[in-house]
Amino acid sequence: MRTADWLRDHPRDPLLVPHDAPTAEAAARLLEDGHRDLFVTDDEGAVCGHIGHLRIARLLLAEQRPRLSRRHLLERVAGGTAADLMERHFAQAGPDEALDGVIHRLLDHDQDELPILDDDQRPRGVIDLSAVLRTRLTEMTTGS
Amino acid sequence: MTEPGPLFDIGLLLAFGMVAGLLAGRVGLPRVAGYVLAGIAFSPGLLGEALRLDVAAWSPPLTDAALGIIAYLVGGSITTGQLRRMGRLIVTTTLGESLGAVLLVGLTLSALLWSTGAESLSLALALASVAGTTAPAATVAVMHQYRADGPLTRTLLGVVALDDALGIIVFSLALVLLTGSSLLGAGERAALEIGGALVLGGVGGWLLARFGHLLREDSLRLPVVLAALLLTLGLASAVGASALLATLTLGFAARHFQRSGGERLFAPLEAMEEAVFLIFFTVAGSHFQPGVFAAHPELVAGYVLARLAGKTGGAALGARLGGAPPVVTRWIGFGLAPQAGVAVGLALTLAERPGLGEAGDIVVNVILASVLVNEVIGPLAASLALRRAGEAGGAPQREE
Repeated sequence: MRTADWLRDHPRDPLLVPHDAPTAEAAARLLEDGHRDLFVTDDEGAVCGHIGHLRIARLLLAEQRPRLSRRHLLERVAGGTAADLMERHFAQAGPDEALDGVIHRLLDHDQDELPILDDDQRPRGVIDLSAVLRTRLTEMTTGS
Repeated sequence: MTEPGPLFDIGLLLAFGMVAGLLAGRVGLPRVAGYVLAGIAFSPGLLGEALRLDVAAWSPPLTDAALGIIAYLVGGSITTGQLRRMGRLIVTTTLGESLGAVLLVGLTLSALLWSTGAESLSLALALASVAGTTAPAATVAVMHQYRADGPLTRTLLGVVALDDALGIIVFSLALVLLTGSSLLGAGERAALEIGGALVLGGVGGWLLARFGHLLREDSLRLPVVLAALLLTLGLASAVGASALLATLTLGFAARHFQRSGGERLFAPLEAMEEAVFLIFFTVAGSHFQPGVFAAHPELVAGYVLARLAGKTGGAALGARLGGAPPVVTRWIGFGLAPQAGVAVGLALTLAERPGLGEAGDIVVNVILASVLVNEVIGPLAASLALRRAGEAGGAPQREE
């Protein structure tokens, strides 16, 4: 099955935030929508980065940690934008790739959602790891 | 059985240092005190001779690499955007407290050495060059313990996160003066050491960011960063540039060109920071010489008091220039007393420079003693400042 076919059967939109949104706004967006992955877009609407749930939690609950690296200290004091928090390297796939060949990228990157991006990095949707697991479990129990 | 060699020595120091650190924590002592005691136990005058450990023979490249890791992390913690957003207050306070400590320690120890007839300006300069650094971990631990928050807490967090960068720059400049044969020679060396380091670190950081972006496998992140770090250290040493400044610039440039949060290029090495400090303290402990220490108690007292006075006075002046409220101006210097791993690493660098001779050993012993004193009075001073400023949120929480 191609990733585009999966999206047709299991449509799910990615949670997007512009690169210049303040980190507090990005955090609020992530929490309101119940997603665990936030994708950052550039001025042209192309996806250019990823922010995970844990990264946001570490920033918002920084004062709860007895030890912080200097990098996290400055993040806590200086604040910033989504672009300051995001990682440019994240798990992603194209619409014509085989689903079985790309799922491992989610596991390698500690992401729950795999964005499916066009050639110009515009998002078509995300593949949700839980939905993949549910399908796999059904297959195992029904023996199909 | 043949002699086990340096790898055994390193393993032994790490293992005993870790156990001694944990035991020290159990009895309410700072963990670094345990690290240092383990190092002292394996110094040549004690177990080192019986076990035929030769720490001095293998430690220079290890401490250079370890200090390179710290400088890279310090450089990578800062972005130009953060500096702009943090505003004038944190920048002026950092400049004030760091340069205040360097100046006051330099002047006090010069006067002290001159009065005893020693006239060793290079020793005073060497000790002063290390005085600007602090230990963010100790200050953050106190803030966490009291669940502190407020203008003093936030300013203090910014200052402790920034001032090691300034401390490393000041140290690198001082090293040029300490190793130059003349003022003119020092000028030429400064151009090469500093200019070469900036170019090397800048180009290396750009390459690291570009190459790091192309990497698909997460497991390759650490080897790539280590390779960049060691190549930068080695090249800097080969061309006569400042290795510390080069790795500081490498971290800064890599973060700048990567234009992201930095998890990919920095998190793997941040996890190694405690191991690096363990190496610094145990190796420094093995340099401990009771004779050197007993001969210069006035240097330890002078260093501790002058540094504290320089930090509090300089921080107050810097905070006032930055428009801080009175509560910040009055108390911020007291939160900056702790000094630990970075200072010991810099002192080891001096001790391992052949040109400094006995002065290098004196620097290590004075810094080691003052770090132990500061590990005790630093957290007390920080908690006093937070409580007096009304920012200690509640009763101290017991640390795990």
